[in-house]
Amino acid sequence: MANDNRSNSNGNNSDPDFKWDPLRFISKKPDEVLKKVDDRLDVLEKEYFSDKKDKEENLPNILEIYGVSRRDFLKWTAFLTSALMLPYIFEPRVARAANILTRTPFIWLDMADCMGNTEGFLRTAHPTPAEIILNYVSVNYMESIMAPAGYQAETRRTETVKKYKGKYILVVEGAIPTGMDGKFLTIGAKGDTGLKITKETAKHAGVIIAVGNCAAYGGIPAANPNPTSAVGLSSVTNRSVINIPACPANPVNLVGTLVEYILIGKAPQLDSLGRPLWAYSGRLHDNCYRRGHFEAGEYVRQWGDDGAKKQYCLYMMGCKGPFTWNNCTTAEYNQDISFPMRAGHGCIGCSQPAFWDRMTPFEKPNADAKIIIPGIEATADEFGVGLFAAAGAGIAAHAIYTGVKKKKEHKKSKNEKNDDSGKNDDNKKE
Amino acid sequence: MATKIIVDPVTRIEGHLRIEAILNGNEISEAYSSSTLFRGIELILNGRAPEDAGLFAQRICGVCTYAHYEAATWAVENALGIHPPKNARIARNILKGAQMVQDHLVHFYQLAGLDWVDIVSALQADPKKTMDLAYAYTKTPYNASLARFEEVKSRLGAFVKSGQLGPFAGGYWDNPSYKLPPEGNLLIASHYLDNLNILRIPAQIIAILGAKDPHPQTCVVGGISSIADIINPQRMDDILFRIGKITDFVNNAYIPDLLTAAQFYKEEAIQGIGGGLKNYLSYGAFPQTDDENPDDYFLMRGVIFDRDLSKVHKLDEKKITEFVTHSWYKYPNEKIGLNPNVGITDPDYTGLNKDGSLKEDEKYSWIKSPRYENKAMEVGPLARTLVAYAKGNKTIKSLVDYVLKTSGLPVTALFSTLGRTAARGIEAKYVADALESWTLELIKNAAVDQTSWTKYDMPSKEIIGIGLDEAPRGSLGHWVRIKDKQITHYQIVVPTTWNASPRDAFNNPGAYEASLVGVKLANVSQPLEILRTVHSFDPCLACAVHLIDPRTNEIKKYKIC
Repeated sequence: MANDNRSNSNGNNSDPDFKWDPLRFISKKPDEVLKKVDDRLDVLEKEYFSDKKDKEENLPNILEIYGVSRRDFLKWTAFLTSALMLPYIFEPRVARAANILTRTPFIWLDMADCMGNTEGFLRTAHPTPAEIILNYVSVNYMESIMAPAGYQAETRRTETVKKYKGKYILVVEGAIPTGMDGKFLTIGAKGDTGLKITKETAKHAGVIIAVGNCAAYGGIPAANPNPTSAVGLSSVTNRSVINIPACPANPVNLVGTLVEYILIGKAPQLDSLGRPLWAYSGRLHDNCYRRGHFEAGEYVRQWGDDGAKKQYCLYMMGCKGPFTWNNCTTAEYNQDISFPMRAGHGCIGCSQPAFWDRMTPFEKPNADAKIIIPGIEATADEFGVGLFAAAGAGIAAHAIYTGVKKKKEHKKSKNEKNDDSGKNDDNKKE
Repeated sequence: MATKIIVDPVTRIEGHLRIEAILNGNEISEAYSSSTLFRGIELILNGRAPEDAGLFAQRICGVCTYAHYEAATWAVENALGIHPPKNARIARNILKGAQMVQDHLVHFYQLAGLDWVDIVSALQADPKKTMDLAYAYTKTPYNASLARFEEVKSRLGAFVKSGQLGPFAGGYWDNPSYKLPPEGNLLIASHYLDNLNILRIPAQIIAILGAKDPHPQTCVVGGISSIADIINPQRMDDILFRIGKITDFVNNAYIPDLLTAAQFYKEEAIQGIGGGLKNYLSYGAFPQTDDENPDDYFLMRGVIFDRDLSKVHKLDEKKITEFVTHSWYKYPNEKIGLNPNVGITDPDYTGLNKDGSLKEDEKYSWIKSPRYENKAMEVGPLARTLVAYAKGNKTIKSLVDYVLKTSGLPVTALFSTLGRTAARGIEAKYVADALESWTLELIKNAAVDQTSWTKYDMPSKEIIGIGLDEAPRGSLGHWVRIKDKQITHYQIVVPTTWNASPRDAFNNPGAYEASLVGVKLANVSQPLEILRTVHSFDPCLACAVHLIDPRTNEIKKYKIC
């Protein structure tokens, strides 16, 4: 299976030097860091704005057209600054970065996708300015919303690549089919393959972002038996890719990453799976509001039972929160409305590589989950290696211990056999 | 002189679509529709747990995301012979209703709107006259004031001056085919912007009952998982509050804007431009009874042949077959269509011509050709509206009659690009107006009955199920076989498969192909009218244009002046 080799790494960060520092910009030399950021913003502002008036009126103008008040915008910068785990002194800088983003050339490619990530943006309310900045202002090529079609559309893309070499932001949505030399997806009158277009566009991009699980790790097109030999973006380009997985990705995570890129001129700190740490360093299970019920051994055991009405832990219903790293439980979807566990359904692990094969059946607890990977068929706990660290085993053990009658305790020892790494430093096992 | 136009990528749709059209002068004589992406989700579903079918199938599309989830869940429930309890049935209807209204809104303004509305012409508008237009079809127009129109105009002007048109850049502005006066363009452009703030509201309703949007996660086999939200009055109140905002926008922006557009594009509708196929199919959706009887569906089930509105035929799913004569798949015998229950998905890509064009006499698309009684059918809002109209649905009839009367159009004008667009608006209103009563029904029921799941046992013997549902874009069918608690066979026929299908064994064109015949291009280097007609189906697929002169096969490229 042509798969992203990094997708065999185990969701958590296995880098021994891994020290996630939320104060990464100011813990050492705050003045120097701020000056660096300011200098960079100055350079970019010079480049994208003709004069002071242009710079100052640009964003208010745009926000006004789309009916976003100044106050909403300030709220948004505050929200994004905190989401990025930056101190408040960065708020005006985030606002400046947003202003620059409206002029930064932007190409959005759709490959073997379902447009779910695009739709996520079209429907996002939180943050509204983000949606405007991304979808309606700087976008030079985005098939889903651009006015021209056909030849005129293609020209927009090729000209952007030519004109803004090394400067444009490239976002790719969808997996890249590599079977039949990529002919499972052709775009344009000449029938160029998606593979070819992706490679060409990635070559000269300033920063490359894979949004959604398909673009990051191959997603559903790459699920067994992977009929089209689909792969994630990092498998077809030798340049570094920032992965923003989930199905669909939370728009907040993409916008935050872009703003951070504008601020510091490089990718934010990434984990071993290429995901920005500010968004993906927390395990869902650790931040879930139902966690208390897990500790107390109170589980939903059947859809619609008493536990479901009382919002008990969903581990027994197959929740993959213990094995999934993302900020769904804190950032939530659709403007803090909900996320899967809040709506009574377990997490399906959609920010993890190969989750369609490794986290299924979605509605069965992991101890019973069948892993379908070519050549390997085993239960999750037997598979162990490179999939779940001690945390996984510990969680299964806890669930069994607290939730099931004593006679099932022998499973616990089975789990511990697979405790292969034990290096999981953010395991909050009790 | 016959020339060929290739539009690839078709933009402002979901997915990857190519249209090739043969032009006689400036009129299209033949068209070919090709889907240029294959993912193979039906193959990926084999061997999976039936409970996961919905979550897998949902990823077919991130736009009509909930529709596949529900259809797959229905198919598995149908195989098990179970029905969800009342709470789940109503909650699912609300989820799908919110999804449908949102989809129609995003289509009218963001996706298809730019085919009807010339953003650049809006800069010439007189805000005072725009006010008159805003009040033409409603006493309470949405966000309409002199100040608002002046502001939109001046800021759009600044936008255009700065050269920063974003997605509007490179559009076909000033094409003579744009018929709205500057005031009409300004009015609808202003609502285009307002709609961006509206779209999130149905999405939030979906998130309350469905966890997130796109790709909700609560529609489990046998019921719904979000019971804690259903029995929570505050959450239900959040839904009611949001429904009010949606209906306000539909009634005071969407419908009046539709009538405004109809007034200026009337001629095309009377000529029947873009009508295409004469057969219409609707599976129906939104069960209103706990036994989910299709006769009582809110969107009605039925088949219409040859535009004969005096007779609606009863649907028989056994008459549905798929051909692969012109699709990149293999069948043992390609002269015969297969019912999805025994369908085969065996990719067989035979490529394009050397110049990149389609091999029209051979295979040319990743889409199969579904047929009903071996006839090509149109599915979608127009088909559903016609079926309900012909069946005498009072609400639909009064809405259709109102739109026709106000625009001064005959019933036959429905069979056109404009008619299709109008039917979508009518349907959006029909569904949006029902959302509130469904929510109240759910609140009332949840007060006395908190069941949200029907217990079942997955047997080991083989079971077969069908889920026939309606997605925003049309009829959606999922066919599943389950054995030893695993999926052994999965076939999906999506609305766009019906509408964008290539020719079949009898050389009958699909709906897009048929509807483009007779469409005239005002400017042959700009595929504006092609987009207008293809977009009216709201394709769930993407295109580029160049022209080939069939005599020399020389590729001619046209640049925008």
